[in-house]
Amino acid sequence: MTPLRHWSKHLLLALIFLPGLPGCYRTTMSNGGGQIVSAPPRFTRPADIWLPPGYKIEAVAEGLNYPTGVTFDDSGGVYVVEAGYSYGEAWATPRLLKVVAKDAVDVVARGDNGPWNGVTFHDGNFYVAEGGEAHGGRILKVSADGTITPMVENLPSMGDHHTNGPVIGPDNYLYFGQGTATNSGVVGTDNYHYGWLARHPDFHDIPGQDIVLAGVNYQTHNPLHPVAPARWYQRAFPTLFPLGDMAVTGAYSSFGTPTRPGDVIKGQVPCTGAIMRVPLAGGPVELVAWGLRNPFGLAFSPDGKLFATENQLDVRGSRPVFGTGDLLWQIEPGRWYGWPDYFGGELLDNADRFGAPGRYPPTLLLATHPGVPPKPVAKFGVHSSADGFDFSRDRAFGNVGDAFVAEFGDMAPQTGKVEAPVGYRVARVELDGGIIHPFAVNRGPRDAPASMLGTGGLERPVAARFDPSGKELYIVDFGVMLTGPKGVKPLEYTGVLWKITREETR
Amino acid sequence: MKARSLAQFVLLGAAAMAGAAGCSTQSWLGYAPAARRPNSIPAERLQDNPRLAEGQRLFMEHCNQCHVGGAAGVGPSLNDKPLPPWAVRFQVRQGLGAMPAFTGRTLSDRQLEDVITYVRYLRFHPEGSIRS
Repeated sequence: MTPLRHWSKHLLLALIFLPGLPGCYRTTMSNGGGQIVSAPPRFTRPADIWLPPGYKIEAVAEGLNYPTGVTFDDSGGVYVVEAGYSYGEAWATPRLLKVVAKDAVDVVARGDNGPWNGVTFHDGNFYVAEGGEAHGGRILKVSADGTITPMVENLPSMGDHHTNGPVIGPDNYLYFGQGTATNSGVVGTDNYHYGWLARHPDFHDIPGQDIVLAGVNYQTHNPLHPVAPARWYQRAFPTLFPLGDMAVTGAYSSFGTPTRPGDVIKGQVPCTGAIMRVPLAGGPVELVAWGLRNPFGLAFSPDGKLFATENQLDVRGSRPVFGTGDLLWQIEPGRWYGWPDYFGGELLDNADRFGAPGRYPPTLLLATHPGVPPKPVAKFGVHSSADGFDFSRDRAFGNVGDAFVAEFGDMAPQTGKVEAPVGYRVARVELDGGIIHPFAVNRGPRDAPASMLGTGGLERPVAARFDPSGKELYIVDFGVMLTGPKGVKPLEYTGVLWKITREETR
Repeated sequence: MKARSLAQFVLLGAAAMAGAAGCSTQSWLGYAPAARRPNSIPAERLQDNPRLAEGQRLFMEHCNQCHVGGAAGVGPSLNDKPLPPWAVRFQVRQGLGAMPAFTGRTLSDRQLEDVITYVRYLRFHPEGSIRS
């Protein structure tokens, strides 16, 4: 073999392998847990769920419509809230229900401004976080007879993320989360596809304190101003042939509003991307912490410290961000947690780390940052959607002090691509070291929702909460949600309430 | 000449194997084949092996987001790959594909060895996988 032929062979091998490596992520398909064409009818079979030895699970209620939260009254009654709105622009009636039997509920209260994202019971009343996708968020006080009294109104909740929680603190304040309007600070065409930009074209994120912008702007097509009927090629290739005129949009601004370096955005309370609180006796809303993209789950640890789960950034919109897993934070009053320029204490301008393959890496939006964010307690899988959680308090259940976190599961490919389903389980988190363990997962060859596996197991856990005794862990399972390139499709009345108990005591 | 040729093949093979870690076959197939299901490692094992415990902690901090418990997520599964430690080192340090590079400032050589110890435990030890 001549040296030339010899090297040409190696060159051929190199041409085969090396150029493909950096780009192979882009060429592979997404395999999210919701990416199935249709779902079989939902059924429950506890034996299809794996738990650590000594624990058992049972279905307490079935046929719920987009349930998001569970709570308990003083006499041991179990109550759930149904959202009344779901991603996919699915509108229903938000409801507070008392679970009477596995297939029977009593309606305590109805709303008309979903999603209702969580409920808690305290001193004879229920407190509901009303997401208010259509009319703005509220915190509702609901008496035992179903009378609804708003405690807080006009929360900026008409965007991607909503009003969440609530929990009652040892200080007799009600704490709640308010998610951001956008994925990463800039209103874009993704928000039009979510549905809200057409309803609220002026809506955008609001900081909790004054911020100074770097003046970064993004140009997109303007779906709010179509100039002519869409041609077939515009419908087929909207990116190549945009429908309508173009829009330039900056951070913390309405769609189509550019910003300049040094622009100051005034802080407000209530704001987006924050945890806030209000006295149970009534009073003004106070800012607790901000710079949190979507603080969905809130819980106080046994020693009285506030923790929150945060749904992290997606690969979508004008400023896509890659590879940011959901976080568990210990919340320190007054602290800024980094959104939209940090992830878990790291700046997002690291293209190698946060740049989505084939997309521009994120640019920092703020000229100066309100502080240096702390390190999170734990990092969950990217797109796992770590949501409602609670702490074990009772030795009979075990793992006292650990957090039990419901992972809703990915919404790929809308939020970003995954090689395999992520989430669809309940995880146990050791706070010391941030060690995440599987606690309740579907049996089968892989982590996936029951609809994909064809079993009677978990679908999309969205909340986990212990009963007042601490011996029973209730899991709110939102139900089936199919996902695809054109959006998401939740299936009505497929929600389930599960209960996990320990069969033996130490 | 033969030795040189062999070395070149080894180099290319190393690059290809390292790349394979960032380019899983399951996505090409369009479905995820059966892989090991992540499980908790018993506390006594971690107490007996502090470097395994440290590897677990570091894995949770740096790797778990994309390789949840060693299984696939945004990235491919690690707990069923026949990758030798040197190939893992190469992949981590170079960051081929969508995976970022982890330099010595983020993970020291000793810390990287602890992570590799943990990942190999997930792959080889029966306690590293749920038998579902």
